[in-house]
Amino acid sequence: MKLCLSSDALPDGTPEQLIQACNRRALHGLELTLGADHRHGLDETICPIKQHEGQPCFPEGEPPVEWLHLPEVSSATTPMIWAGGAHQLDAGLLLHNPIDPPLATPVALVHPTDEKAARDAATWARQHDAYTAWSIRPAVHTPGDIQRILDLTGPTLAHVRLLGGGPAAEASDDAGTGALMSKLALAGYRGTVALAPSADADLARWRRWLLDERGWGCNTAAIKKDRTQSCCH
Amino acid sequence: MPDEAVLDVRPIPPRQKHPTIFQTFDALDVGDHFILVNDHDPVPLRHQFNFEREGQIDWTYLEQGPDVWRVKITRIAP
Repeated sequence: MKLCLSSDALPDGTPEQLIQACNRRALHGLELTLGADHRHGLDETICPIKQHEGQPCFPEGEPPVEWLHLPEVSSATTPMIWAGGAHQLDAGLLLHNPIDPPLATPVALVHPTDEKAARDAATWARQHDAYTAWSIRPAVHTPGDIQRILDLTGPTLAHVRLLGGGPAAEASDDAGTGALMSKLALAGYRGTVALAPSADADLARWRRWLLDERGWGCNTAAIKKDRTQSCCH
Repeated sequence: MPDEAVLDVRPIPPRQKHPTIFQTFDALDVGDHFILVNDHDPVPLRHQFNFEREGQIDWTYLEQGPDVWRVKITRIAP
């Protein structure tokens, strides 16, 4: 299991800031979402080869770019073009629409925490020697929901988009994230897990957490704080 | 048990970290292990294991900071 950072958490971050955030939080790598509002330099509307004349389109080295995340697109050729960009970065490509591989790079089909969607994605992945990517907000799901999805996707699962982690988790008491991480561990999951914001996230809070603050929160310290507060009230 | 059982607890809400770790440990068969990944030395956790799972655990550091601690936690007895 390799913990990564999605550029969704820092859409206005430059490549250098994304790398800095990864290193400060000791994260393994990056998931870069392709969209005009992201400042990492990759623009989904511009052909990567034309844009960079065949040169690497993101600073080389550590941390690596593990995935390029292509939001839903209407053009059938866009994934093929960006597969080349991902190949340049030695990254995989996350898609929300099934296509017909093979492409030049590993491809994973993103699905939500829905049994039919997970089953369809896993079927597609097996048929095309590809992978699945699971987008989940654990705080709103039960351990049973999580296990059912894992049972359906099995060895096709290569990436998890963990929505609502980061700074929100420090103030939370949800058991879903723990259940997810435990079940992934016990299943021997070797893929990536990208921290990403939920839809209602405070991105300014994320920026401070990634670039200014340290620490992930300690169980012992949290329990002591609870005891101190209950004692004083 | 798969060869690579890695439990990275960093993104888990603080109050849920120890319960998650204990649930994962209790799901192991004797002889199996997982690798715990944390952002600080989990000394209080080790003490809690020694108290609540006395004689059941082997604790081996694989990496000790400065940014990440990795501990191989093996279940050695039922």
